[in-house]
Amino acid sequence: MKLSDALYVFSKIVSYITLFAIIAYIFLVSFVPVIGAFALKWEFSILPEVWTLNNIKFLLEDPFVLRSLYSSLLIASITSVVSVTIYLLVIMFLFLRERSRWVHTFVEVSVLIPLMLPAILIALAIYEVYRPTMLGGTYWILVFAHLTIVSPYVFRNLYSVARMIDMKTLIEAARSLGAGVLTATYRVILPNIYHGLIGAMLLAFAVSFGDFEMANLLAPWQYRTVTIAIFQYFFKNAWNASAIILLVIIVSVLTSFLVAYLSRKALARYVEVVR
Amino acid sequence: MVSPNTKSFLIDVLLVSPFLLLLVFFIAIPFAVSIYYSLTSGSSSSFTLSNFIQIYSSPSYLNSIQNSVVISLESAALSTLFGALLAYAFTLLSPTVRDIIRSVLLLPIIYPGLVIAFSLVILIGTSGILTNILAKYFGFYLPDVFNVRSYGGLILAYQSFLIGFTSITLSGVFLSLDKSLIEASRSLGAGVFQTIFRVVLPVIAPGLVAAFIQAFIIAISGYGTALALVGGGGNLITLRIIMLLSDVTYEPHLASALAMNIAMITIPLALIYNRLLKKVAGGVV
Repeated sequence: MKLSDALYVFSKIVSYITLFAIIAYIFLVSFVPVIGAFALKWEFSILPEVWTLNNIKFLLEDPFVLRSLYSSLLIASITSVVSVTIYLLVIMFLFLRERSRWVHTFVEVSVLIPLMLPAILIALAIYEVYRPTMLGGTYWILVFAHLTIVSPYVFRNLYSVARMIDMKTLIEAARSLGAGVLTATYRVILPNIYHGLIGAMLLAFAVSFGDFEMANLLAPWQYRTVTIAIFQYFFKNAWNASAIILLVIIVSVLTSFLVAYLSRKALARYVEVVR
Repeated sequence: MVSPNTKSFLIDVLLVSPFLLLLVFFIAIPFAVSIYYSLTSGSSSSFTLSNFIQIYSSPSYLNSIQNSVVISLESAALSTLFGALLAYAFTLLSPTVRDIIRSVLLLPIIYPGLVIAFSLVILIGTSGILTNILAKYFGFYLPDVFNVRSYGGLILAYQSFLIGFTSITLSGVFLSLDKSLIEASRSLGAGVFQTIFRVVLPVIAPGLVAAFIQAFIIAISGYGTALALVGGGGNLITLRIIMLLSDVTYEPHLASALAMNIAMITIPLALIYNRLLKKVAGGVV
């Protein structure tokens, strides 16, 4: 066997082992809380020694946890809808007419700013600026904070879809056929970027729902989110906290399921229209 | 009657103003305020460098900056290495399997870092399940060798989601790597190492640097995982900021100055990252 063949086989084996080890690690850390949510005693074996539904009962009865779930769902829903609307409008602006390269660069770079700055810095500053205002004690302060951190995800998704479908030509075509901006948006743009829209919405929802770093500083006490609940309960009772974590996992998986279903439906409709 | 020019101008304004308002009120003004805060002290409104002097003359704060930088560098290096190996493995797999594995890798990115930290404590903490099993059946007490609630544990926790970012960024690079380039180099008589260092590395280098920077920025600016895993016992910049914002000691000026230290590192890196990203296809963000 030649040296190069041996090296090739070796590199293949190493990369497969790494792949397997990393997937195993991710499964382990992701699904330990799922099993833990049904554990009463779990100390010395691969699966819990004593199973229980008490953690789920705790989840459904504890007013603080229920309240936190409501807050998280509310804040994440508003964040995803508002952010997708804002960035859809900007992208329409970018593709409505010929814009200079600088306009594109300005939007691209300013959307990335939240990635450059630590979340805690933005959160602290938003807290200092808007606490004395009417935003202060409401959940809107957290919604606006989340709008900043989801922007790179939402923009990049929508922007790539807009480029893929050649939004500029589509708008031009619709308008030269006599459609106004509104009609063009509703009848031509929206049906075409439906997938991207839903995908961006899902990402925004997931990022907002899973955020702890901004919520920890900004959420008013009656709107403390699910991640804050997890943090507060973990050191009291790890299995109770696992039940809340299970909830977060279910919500993420359900959301992605729903989105996959919706986008399949949209795709079917798109194919029909094309026919 | 509104002229067509005025009308199209109005449409432009309507389309772009929500974004501009968000940008001005929730990014520009807060950032300006945190710069202002870092350059003033609570007692007077005149500009001063006292916050920065306090940070740079305190061994404990300097140590926190050093810890954050070192841990983030180590996390980024490890996750870039693993991400590259994974991206290479992706090229060997069928597209269906690749997509399934990618969605598994995306899971920890969506989960809060908190969850990963807690899972690790449940698994290999001082009375974790794996720790107990190892101690009972093999007589080996893991925390003697590796304490998960330490900086090492933090690096391990970071890997779970950093690898997702780096491998997805790098898989675009690896998949677009032209195989005929390698074949050409080999058939022209280049050795394996020569091919790797002269042909493959120059092509994937921008991707590797981009992945490294991305992982570094995520590692240095987050605090959720660290708070859950190391808590008050760790000396990291972000944890020190959180301590300065507690009810007992609320010092937004010093906290802003500390946060500025992170921003001074991450902003130039993010600008380089943005340049590199144009050469690299794909990526989560």
